[in-house]
Parts: sequence; C-alpha cells; structure tokens
Amino acid sequence: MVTTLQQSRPVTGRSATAPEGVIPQASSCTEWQKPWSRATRRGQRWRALLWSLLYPPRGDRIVPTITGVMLFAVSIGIGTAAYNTANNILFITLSLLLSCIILSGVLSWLNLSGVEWRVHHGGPWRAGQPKTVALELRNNKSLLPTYGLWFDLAAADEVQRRHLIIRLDPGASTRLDWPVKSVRRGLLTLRLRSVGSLFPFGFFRKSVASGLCAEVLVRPAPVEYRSHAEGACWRLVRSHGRVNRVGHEGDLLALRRYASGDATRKVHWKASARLRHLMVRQFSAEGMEGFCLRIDTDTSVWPRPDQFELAVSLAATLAEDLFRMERLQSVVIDDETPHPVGRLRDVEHFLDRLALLETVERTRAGSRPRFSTVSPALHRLVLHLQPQGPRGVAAMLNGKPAASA
Amino acid sequence: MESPRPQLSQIELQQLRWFLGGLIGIVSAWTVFYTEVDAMLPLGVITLTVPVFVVYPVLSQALPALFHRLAFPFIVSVFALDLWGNRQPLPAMIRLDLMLLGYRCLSPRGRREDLQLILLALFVVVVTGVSTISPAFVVQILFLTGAALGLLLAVTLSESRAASLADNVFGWEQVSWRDLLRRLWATADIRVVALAGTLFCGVVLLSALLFLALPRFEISNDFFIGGQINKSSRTGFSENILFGELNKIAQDSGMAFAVDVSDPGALPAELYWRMLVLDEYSGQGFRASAGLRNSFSPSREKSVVHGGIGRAREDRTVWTIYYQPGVSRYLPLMGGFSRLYFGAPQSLSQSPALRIAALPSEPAQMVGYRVEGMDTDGVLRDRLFAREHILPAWDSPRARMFFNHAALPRESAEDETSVGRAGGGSEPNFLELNGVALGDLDKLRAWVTEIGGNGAGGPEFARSAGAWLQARHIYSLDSTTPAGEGDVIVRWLDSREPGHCELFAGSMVLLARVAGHPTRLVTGFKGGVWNSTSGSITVRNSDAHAWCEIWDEEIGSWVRIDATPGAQITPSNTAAEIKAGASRMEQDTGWSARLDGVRVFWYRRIVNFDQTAQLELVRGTKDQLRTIMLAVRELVDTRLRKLVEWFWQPWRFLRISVGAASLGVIVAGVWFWRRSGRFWWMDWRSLRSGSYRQDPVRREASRWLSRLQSRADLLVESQPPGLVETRGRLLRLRYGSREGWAPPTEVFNEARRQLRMLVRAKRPNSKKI
Repeated sequence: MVTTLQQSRPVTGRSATAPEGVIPQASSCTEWQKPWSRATRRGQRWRALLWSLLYPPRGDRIVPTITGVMLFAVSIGIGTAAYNTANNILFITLSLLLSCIILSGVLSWLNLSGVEWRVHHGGPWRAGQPKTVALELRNNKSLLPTYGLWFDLAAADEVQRRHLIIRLDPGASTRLDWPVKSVRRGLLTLRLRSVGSLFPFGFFRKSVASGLCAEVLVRPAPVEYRSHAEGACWRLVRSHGRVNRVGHEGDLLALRRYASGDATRKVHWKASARLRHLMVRQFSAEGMEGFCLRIDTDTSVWPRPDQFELAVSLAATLAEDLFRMERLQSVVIDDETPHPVGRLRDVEHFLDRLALLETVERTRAGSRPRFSTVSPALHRLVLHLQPQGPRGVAAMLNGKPAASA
Repeated sequence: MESPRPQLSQIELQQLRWFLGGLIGIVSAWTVFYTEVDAMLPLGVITLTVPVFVVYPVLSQALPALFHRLAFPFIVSVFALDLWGNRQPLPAMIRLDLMLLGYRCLSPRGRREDLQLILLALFVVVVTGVSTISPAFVVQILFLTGAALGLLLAVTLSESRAASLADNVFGWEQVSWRDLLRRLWATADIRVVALAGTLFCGVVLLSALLFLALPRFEISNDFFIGGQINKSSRTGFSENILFGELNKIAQDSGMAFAVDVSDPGALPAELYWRMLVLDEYSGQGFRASAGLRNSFSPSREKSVVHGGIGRAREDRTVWTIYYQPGVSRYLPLMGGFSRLYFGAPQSLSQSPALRIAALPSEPAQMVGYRVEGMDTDGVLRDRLFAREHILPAWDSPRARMFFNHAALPRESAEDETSVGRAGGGSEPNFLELNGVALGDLDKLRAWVTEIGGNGAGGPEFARSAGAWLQARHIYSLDSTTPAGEGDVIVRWLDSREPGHCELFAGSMVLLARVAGHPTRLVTGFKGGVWNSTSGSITVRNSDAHAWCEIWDEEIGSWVRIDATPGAQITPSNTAAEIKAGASRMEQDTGWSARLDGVRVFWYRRIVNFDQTAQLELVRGTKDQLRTIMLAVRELVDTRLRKLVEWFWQPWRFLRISVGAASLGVIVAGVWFWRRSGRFWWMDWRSLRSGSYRQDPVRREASRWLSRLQSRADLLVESQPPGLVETRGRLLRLRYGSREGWAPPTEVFNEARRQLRMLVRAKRPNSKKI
C-alpha cells in the first residue's frame, strides 16, 4: 500500500497510468498540522493574526448562531436606545455585550491555538473493504484545555463530522476514528476540510479551513473466481518440473547489497564489515515453476469499463493467490518487460500499479512490444487476462481458460 | 493518552444548567425590588417557588401538561388586564417579564428556553438599572453577565457532548447537589478557574474602556423609561407638612444627596439646603399658600436655568449635586444662583423670588445638576417685597450694599418675579396668624412682650426670641407636645417640654409674626459630612431640618433664623465663617462613607459621563502623558548632565578606584549571568516546568544543537576534539530523561567553547585544529 501525502496542497496532474516507479513511498499518516498554519513563523504571528481579521483566509468561516444573532439584535437595540437617550446605564450594558463578543473571540482563538492534528489512514486499502481513518489530536498548550472541537473529514464525496468529547487537557492527546469505505480502486483523497467549534458561548459557528489532505491508493477489490483445474493447463505446468529461483530457502546463491525491506537475519555481517556496507545473503528457492500474469490495457481489448474493472480485480486476486502458492514468477502489463516477483513487495508494487491502471488507446506505430522478446518457454506459462463474453473475464493459459470471474 | 481528569456527563451538565438558570431567574427578579414597580405578587411567587424547584428539579417534571398548556394564555391575559387597568406600560411589562421568568425557571428547559431566560433576565436588570440609576446595577449586571456566560458555556459543552456521544439525559432530575459539587471540584482545574476569573476581570476592564471610548452623541433626548415609573411621594418635604413629619424623615440615615464642590475651601461653616418655603400656618403645621404656589413659573424643559439673582456671580465655585430619588420634587439649593445646569433637558418650575426650584414630580432616579454662583450666606434679597414693605429703609447703607440700587433703578426690578406675581391672584402673607385662636394670640403677645425688642429689626428680635426659646426648651427628637386644647405651638411654648426643629422654627415664626416681622418657615437639610473617600459632601435624610427666614427691613432681605438649640440663630457674616472650608466639616470615614464614596463615584464618573466628560478625559489623559514624558525627559537630562559633570571633574585616585570597581562589578555581573546565572535560572525553571516541549533547558539545548550543526557542517576535514561528546550531551538534554542529564550549565558552557573553536577554525588564517 502506497500513499501520497501532502499538507495544505492537494495533488494535481497525477496521471493514473503513471509509469512504473513514480508512485512515491510514504508513511501512513500525515504531518502534524496546526490551525492557521500559514502564519507559524515566529514574529509573523501577530501580523498574520491582524491581517486575518481583515482578510480571513479562504475557507475560514465565522457564522453567527441563533444565540449570536440574538446577541447582535440585543446589542443593536441597546445601542440605539443608548444613543437615543444618552443614558449611561445603557452604554454600560452595550459595552458589556461588546466585551462578551470580544471575549468569545479571544477564548475561541485560545481554544484552537496550540492544538495539532494529523490523520492516520493505516495499512493497505482494498476497494469495498471498510477501513478506519484516525485523527490524532494533541493539545500542546501548557495550561488551557481545549473544548468542543469538531472535524469535518471528506472521503471522496462523503463528508463526516466527528466531535471532540468536551475537553482535551493540556499536554494530552486523543484519537477520533472515522470508518471509511472506498468502493473504487484508485487514488482516494482524504481531506480534513475544516476544524470548527462553538466554544465558548455558542455565539458563532467558527470553522478553520484545514486543507490537510492525504491521497490513499486503494487497491482493486478481491473477486471470487472459478479455477478451471480440470483443464489441462494446470497439469501441463505441473509436469514441467521443479526449478531453482531466488527466494528465501535453499542454497546460498550469492551476496548482494542490502536493500530496504530485507530481513536483518539475512545480513552477512563479515562481508558487511569487510566491504563497509551492508550485504545480505541470497538463497535459491526450490519450487514449482511459476506463471507470468499479464493484463492488457488496450481499449480495443476492453471496450466495457466494468469488464476492465473486473479484469483488474481478477488480476490482483490471482497475483495474491499465485504468490501465496509461490507460483507467481512475473507480472506484465501490456507489452512491457516482465517484472520478476520474488518478494511480497513485488506483489504489492504490482497491486499498486493495478490500482491506478486505466485503459489506453494504443497506437500500433508508436508502441514497441517488448514482451514478444521473451523466451517461448515463458510464453507458454503466461496467464493472459481476456474478456469472456459480454461481462466476464478469463485468465487464459495457452489459449485455454485457467480461471474466470 | 487520555485525560486523567474526569469529564462532566450530559446529566451533570444538564443539572448545572438547571441550577444556573434558576439562579439567574431569582437574582434578576429581585432587582425589581429596588424600583417603585408594584410587583410583590410575582416576586413573592418566584422567591417561594423557584428555589424549591431549583433544589428539587423533579418537581418540574411533576407539573401537569395542563399547566404548561395554560401558562402562556394565562400570563398574556394577566398582562392585558394589567395594562388595561393601570395604563402604565412599563410596570405592566416588568410584571409580565417576571411572570415569564418565573415560568421559565419552573419548567424544563432546552437551549431555546435557556436563551429566553437570559433575555428576560437581561431585560428586567437593564430596565431596573435605567429606572433607578443605582450603583447596585453594576453588581447586578456583572452577576448576570457571569452567570449567563456560564450557562451558555454549559449549553455549548452539553451540545458538543451530545453530538459526540449518544448520551441521554434521562433521570437528570434526580440530583444530588453534593455529588455534583464534588464532581465539579474533581473536573475543575484550579489554574483554569483562576484564568477564567482573570478573563472575567479583563472583560470588566474592557467594558470600562469601551464605555469611556464609545463615541457620544445624542440622537434625541427622548428618555423613554425614566418617566414611566412614578415614585411615590414622601410627606415631609411637601407643600403641606404637619409637625413631626420632618422628624420622621430625620430617622432615616440614608443618603439624601451628595455634593461635589469645585473648591472645598469655599465651603461655609454652616450649610443650609433650602428646599421649600411655607407661609401659611394651619394650626397643626405649615403649608404653602395659594399665592406662594402661584409664584412658581410653569414647568419648562431646559438644560440651563438662569437664576439671575445670585449675588455670588463672581464666585467661581461650582456645586454639583446628585439628588437621590425618594426625597422630594424640590431641589436643595442654598440660595440664589447664577446658573443651574442639567445633564439632559429637564422640566423645571422655578420661583426666583423664593429661590426655589421644583421638578414636575418626584424623580424616580437620581437627578444630577450643577449650580454656579450660589449664595451661601443665608441672606436672600427680595427687591419687590422690599419695595412694597420696607420703603423707609431703602436708603440705608446695608440695603445700598445688597441692592446696588444706585446702578439699578427701581423700575428695572420688574424683571424679577415677585411673590404672588406669577399667579396673578392672592399673595402670600408672611404676617398671617389665621390658625391661632384669640386666646393663644394673647399668650403669644405676652411672650413677645417678655422677649422684648419691640421696635427692633427682624434679626434682632429673632436673636432675642431664639435665646428666649433655647432658655425654655431643650432639643430632642423624641419631643411631645403637652395634651390639651388650643394651638400646638402655643401649648408647647407654654410648657418646658423639649422640642425638635419644627417646633422651634414654628414657634419662631409665630412669635416674629406677632411682633410684626414678616417670617416664613423653610424646610430642607442642614449640614452634611465631608466624605474624604470621594472628596464630596454627603447629606443624609437624618440632616432634615426646619428653620425660618425673617425679613430684615434694613437690608431688604430675608435672613435665615435657626432657633434650634445648637445652631447659630442668625448667619454669621465673618469671612472665616463664610469660607470655613471642608476641613471644618465633620469627617465621615466609616464603611458607609466608603459605600457613599462608591455611589458618588458612580454618579460622578458613570452616570454623568457625557461628551464633555469624554473630551475632558481625553484632554486629561493627554496632559498626563505629556507631563510624564516631560518628567522622564527632565529626569534623563538631569542624570546625563550630572554624569557629564561627574566625568569632567578631576580624576583622582579615589574616583578612578570607585569607577573601576563599579565597572568591574557590572562586567562581572554580566559575565556571571552569561556564564552561569542564566543557566541556573533556566535549570530552576526547568524543574518547575511540567511540559516536555516548554522545558527551557530542552529548548536551550535545541538552540545549541542547531548552532553547532550550522557551524560543524562547514568543517568537513576535521572537527574540534570533544564536539561529538558535547553534541551527545546536548542531545541527552534535548531528548533524554532528566535522570540522564549532565549538569546543564556545564554542558552549555562546553557547547559555547566548542562553538568558539568552530568559529575560529572557519576563519581562513586560523590554525587547523
């Protein structure tokens, strides 16, 4: 699962059919964000605060509630009477009402200042499966608690609101959970739209635009498929014998440089000390001969979008199942060079690419098929996804359906 | 990490709301008590029921649905009947407000009902404040503000909680106040409570600033509430008084009015505040005759009244009088005046000859007015009365002095309204003895003969009569007149019973009239105390007094005569007595004086604050600032001059030693502070800092780390020895637990040394480390 995370600036211009390797790796939570984070530089805070009173930042809203409207109406009435009569009792009352409005603003500002939040969106997302997005909230103030905040989180087109339970003490943190379910694969934008509060007296409904944005890659949903085991295709593969390939078991094949994600138990410490950088051992894995899973994105192959979606889901499901059976050797999208699959990360990378996969109209002249250059032996073990009927999808092995959904 | 302190549940918040709402209802309803509105019935119902319902909220649930259904129609019907019957909209509205307030306090409330309760309470408090202009308004409105803000806060938190949790409030009526108090104590943070208190004080301060800064301009002067509530009139200072009524007023120690004097040194030794002149003797008291009443001009609305007959026109003393409600409609004045100002246009009728001014009705609120050029010597000239009654004495030297008739021909006196002129009918007779029986008249004649002084002037006779009276009677507030038939005064004179001021004054009037001297009774206040807290005179109802004025033919004036024992019978005319000053007055320094001082401050600075006062405040502030700036500049100039002079003096060994020692102490202090003092101070603060992020030692370590990092990045080839260790120790200070810290002072000093070495190493000509 790979996410693209940004703060205050959503991603623009990302192509869903980005070439391999463009999907950056990121953590599963955003950076901490403060209210009015545009003016956090020391020395500019007061200036920015004063400017924000004149020109409120886009998205910041202060809407009077019924109580606020009543307060304004009473203030106007008493002010009119005060100026009409020059009565100082009324001027005192007017001053107190105005002071209460100012106090409300100051308390509201104090309530929000010193609060930070970030969004956790957790591990891998699959379409159709519910996930919990957590908003971690902490109060960095040393004295004042924070009361009664609410957070509006938008996932796709759905906006959900969560309230802070009354009080968050100074130095304390809390967590608010949202159950979110994405029905489609692809990039899901989680956007914390605003942070609002009625605190302290409910005169105004104040909301501060957050702009905190996290893009989560939603992998294709798993589908149920029918495995045509009675066919000759699977037997053909079984009869082909065992092969040695790079894996976690078997004999030591070689040493290579450490890559992120390698287990520390594989580190060859003597070699690392000698070469002054980490080296890991590479073993041969003994197993059945694997398949090459291939999916095309040509619109001429997939004229129906829902059928293509089904094909992507089937590809993801097959890739996971075959990897679990240690029978996935490589994956191919269109005519590109096959990507060998040796580790879980390779499968996840393939699933991430499937999440963003879209049909493209291919021009014959511009493309240079590279898959045709692979060996005929490999061609024999390719599970090629193709339409089956008006709605179905089949994984064809040597022209025969091996699985269908 | 969850908060260790508990949070109030929805039920507890609801109980808190119920309590605060009830409290607001009771306190705001009781503000009506200070007004003259007759609302004892709704007030009594609220007082009896609301506290019970607040303590036992379950009672609110026990009210039948029919009660809620009929409550509003019933209240509206009562209001309509009240309005129709009494024809007074504002009192009816206050009673309506009280009924609604009571109903809201008794019935279960949601957010909307809580808001209604606050609005109803605000209405009644503001209307009461406007109608009474009492300093108690500040306490009431501040309490209401605090309680209403607390209620709104509870409502907001309650709604926030309801939105986040699906709490229900079922069973909130079963409340244990002790448990709720414990829970409040457990959930409250004393520091936050203190901060909330500070913020509330800040609100009060901000309100005061806003009050001073709000631009003042009057759109109109339609005082819509002031005239809506009529104050019930008090006998004693009315046109018809019976003996003893003034004495009842004197039993009350409440403030009657307060007086600001621009020049406290100009205060006379004896202050007589005249309010009412009475001429007709009724046998049981005195009253104003029709002629006397007709001497008042019709009421006119004006803010400046020209007296025109004050002799003290050159006197710049300004008297500002804050006249309390519930005393009388007649304004206390010491005599004639040049000008009388009101803050806002005021209806006023005036009798310039009597030097009396009266409002159309007894004010329901404090009336403030300013008097300039007021006569305080107890001598009131009356040209027309003099022309008609004392022609023989017209050319006497004293009359010449007072009338200045060389410059003012007799015809020009037409502009002065004489007694009886305004009415055009009967005239007052200051010699009349209609209420005295013939037998009593004989007794009076006999006493006049005994007193003597036939043929003498009025004041001389008054002095003799006063001495005679004081020899026969002593003063007492608990005086009784002997039982029997005949005139009250004659019976009292015939006895040796003690008497109060009315009896002495009344006796003097009768005796003087029998002797042929025009005399009249005057009621008002005598004296007052000097309140050093507020720098003003406080006159209480207990200072109520009666005296008389006798006609002095020689000077053509009415002269004050006070026959009551202890008083000076005729006014003194010595300069020392006329301008005795405030120091000669009785000083009031008790708690009541402080409260009175607060009240005077309220009237002086709050109630009478207007555009002029605002401009004066701005000018005063500007002057103060300028004065401070000039003082600071002068101080700096002086010090600099002295320093320069000191510098240019011959440098001897002692001076050099002292200078060097001082410089050394300063340098050593700075060095010590930079080297160790600052870090010790930081360490001490760190021990008391509960916050990880705000820990000053950690923050300082972070600063040193970034400084070292910015320098060390430039040194690729070699690094000074010990840099790594220093950085490690700084990292432990920054991120490690306190137990693993090296002494911060040593670490920071080491970091400073390392930084110095890095700076040297970076210089091109420096040696490689």
